[in-house]
Formats: sequence, C-alpha cells, structure tokens
Amino acid sequence: MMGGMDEPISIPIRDDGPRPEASGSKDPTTSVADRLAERIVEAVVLGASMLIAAIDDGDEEVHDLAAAGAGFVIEGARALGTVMGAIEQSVAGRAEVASRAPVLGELLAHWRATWERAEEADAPTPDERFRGAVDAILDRLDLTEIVRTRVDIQRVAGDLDLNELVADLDVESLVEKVDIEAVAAKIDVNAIAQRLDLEAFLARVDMVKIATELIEQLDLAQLIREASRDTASDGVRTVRLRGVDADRAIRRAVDRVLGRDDHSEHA
Amino acid sequence: MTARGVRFDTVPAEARAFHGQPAGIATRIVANVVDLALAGLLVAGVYLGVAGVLFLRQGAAFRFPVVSYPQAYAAGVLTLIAYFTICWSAGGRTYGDQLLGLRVRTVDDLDLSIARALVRAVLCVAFPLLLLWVAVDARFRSVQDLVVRTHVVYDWGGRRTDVRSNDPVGVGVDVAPPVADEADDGDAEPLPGLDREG
Repeated sequence: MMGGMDEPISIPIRDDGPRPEASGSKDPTTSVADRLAERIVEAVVLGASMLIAAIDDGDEEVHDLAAAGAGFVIEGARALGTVMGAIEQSVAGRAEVASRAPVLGELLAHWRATWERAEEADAPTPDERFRGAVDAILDRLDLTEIVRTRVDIQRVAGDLDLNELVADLDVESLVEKVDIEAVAAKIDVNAIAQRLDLEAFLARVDMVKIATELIEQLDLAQLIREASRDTASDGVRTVRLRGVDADRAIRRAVDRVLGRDDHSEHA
Repeated sequence: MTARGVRFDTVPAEARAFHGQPAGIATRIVANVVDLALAGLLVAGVYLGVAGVLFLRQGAAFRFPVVSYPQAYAAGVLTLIAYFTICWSAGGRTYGDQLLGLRVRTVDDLDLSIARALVRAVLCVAFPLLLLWVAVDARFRSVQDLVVRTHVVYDWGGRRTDVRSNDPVGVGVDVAPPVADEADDGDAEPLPGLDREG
C-alpha cells in the first residue's frame, strides 16, 4: 500500500485562519455547532484513513478519490458548522429575549417548576426510604423464632382482658357463617362416647337430688296414685269391655236404622 | 330449643282406645240399674237401722214400722237424688259408673258443680226414660245431658298428662303397660271383642 507508508495521509483542507486548538478542546466558549463540526471532521478523517489503509491494490487513483471525497465531506461539515453556528447565535439571542417576555417567561417558569416537581415526585420520600429499610431488616429476621425464644407468651396472655376482646365480637354473625350440619356430620359421636369416663361423670352427679326434683316436678306420687286407685279386677274389666261392646253394637244398629254414617261421632 | 311435651299415660291399656269418648246407652243403663239397686239397698238399710233402734227401745213390744208406698217412694227418690248429687259433684261418678268405667263431665270437660249435679240428678230421677235419647243422639247425650250441658264418657281411671320438657327427643313415658303388639298412638281403635263379633 503506497510504498508501505502506514501513517495517515495529510489531507489538504481549507484554511480558516486561526483554528481552535485541538479537536478535543474543551473550550467552554466553543459553540455547539463548532463542536459538532469538529466531531464530524474527526470521524471522517478516521474513516477515510481506515478506508485507505484497507485498500491493498496500490491503485493511487482510488486513494486520491477517497482522499478527495473525504476532503469534500470534511469541508462540507465545516461549512455546515459555520452555518449552524450562525443560526445558533442568532436564535439563542432571540430566545433569550423572548424568555424575558412576561407571558413566555411565565410559561417557561411553569414548565420548569412542573418538571422539578415531577422529578421530586419520582424520588422516594424519606418515609418510603425508611419503610424500605425496615422491610429489608425484617426480611433478614426470623420473627417467629425471636418471639418464641425471647417473649414470655404466658405473661402477655395473662395481661389480656379477654372479656373486652370478646365484647366487641359479633358472635351471631360468626355462628351464622358456620355450617353446623357439616361440622356435626364430621363428629364421630361413638368415638367420643367411648372416650367418656361415664362412671367418673356419674360419680360427680347428685342423682338423688335430680331424682327428687323430677319426682316433685312430675308429681310422680300423684301419677302412681291415679294409676293404682282405679285398678279394677279382671271381672270388672270384662264387664266394662262387654259394656263398651254393647254400646257400639247398639250404636251401629241405630245408625243403620236411621241411615247415618257408622260411628261418625265416635271417631 | 323447642320444648316438647312428655306424656305420662296412666290410663289402663285396654281402655286407651276409647278413653274420654262418650259412652253408649248399654253401659249407662247398666250403671243406672246398679245405682238404683244401691239406692234401694240404702233405703232398706236406713229402714232396718230405724227398725233396729226401735227394737232396742221397745223390746218385746217391737213391731216393724209400717211404711206406706208413697213414703217409700219419696224416700227412694230423695235418696237417689242425694246419692247422685254427692257422687257426681265429688268425683263425677257413682258406684254404677265406677263399675262400668264411666264418668260424668261437662261438655267443656270439667267437673260438675253441686248445682249442676243436683239439677241433673233431679232430672234423671224424675224422667229416667229420657236416658234413652242416648241411643239416637249423635253425640251420645241424654235429654238431661242436653239440658245441663254434660256428657258421660268412658273413664277407667288414670289420666294423660302432658308435661312440658326441654327434652329434644320428646320421649313419651308409659306408666301403664302398653297394648300387646301395638303402642298407644292416641287414636280410636276397634275393640278386640268388637272385632270378633263383627
């Protein structure tokens, strides 16, 4: 490639007088357009160098064409930078003047305040930061184990006023939600009955007292007196049964004679 | 929990089928005949008692007191009225009723007052044949019953007591033994003897 020359070719470009120091200059006074033009020139120079270095056939015409093309592009970029710089300077001045106008200025101030508020809203508040920190701490702790090992549950439970807790409970609504039938269906009464210590239970029950109260409430003595007072002998019972039979026989006969329904009043 | 009644039934098992139902003409006539005989025995007893007192006082000069028919009739009537009144107002039944298993009650199923029992006794003694209306009356009531608003029911003793209880099962208790092969259901049932005849 061009006699083994490796260093980049110096490309003649338009002399614009005293140029800014270097392409990487950080002069704050340099306009945006100038900096953009410099970046474009650097990119074109670098691209052209790489293109030329990549061509190995030694054709100098191609080299010259590429260099010329790059020169045109660079020159065009410089011209564009100049034009844009002029535009920037003219527009910036006008925009600054316009922002001083009451209406437009207020509008810009409103936009700026809105933008700042939006940024503030997105930022986590101190409370949110605190909560996040607490969550992170709690995630690392086994609270159940801590409570189990370090808290005296019995003592805490001893201080609880269960009556006050239960007083606010709507027991009726709770009971309504319970399917008693389903619960009862699952209860194995026989199994429960087998576990019952009936003898111990009965030993604690004052059967005599219960029996006495029952006898008094039912007036059992009167019942026994009534059951035994009119006890009739077999002969009397036979006479009575025969009398009832005779009554009904006569009634049937009379009903038949009178054409009435049989035993209509007896039923 | 719904309170249910526990029934104590001390009515004899044989009579449960017709307990409380109005009695017919046959048993009532037999009961009245028994009562009439008993009243006659009472009158005779009083006569013999008076004669005994006279015998003790007169000694060898004793003669049985002569009683005219109207006197005897009046004595019998008064005795019968008194007997009926006392028995019906006291327990609702005379000895004849007791023998036949009957009881006199008001139509409201109450015990008879003395006044009602007296009126009924007078009517029964004065017009005994009005009892025959029982045979044709639809509700087995005699004319006397219609007048004083009473009726005669089968009652072999005992009673049915419904005791309110919180027992959810509602177990009934039979004090008297039940009828063989059939529990008492409180309904009217045909009598065994009647079935044989029918």
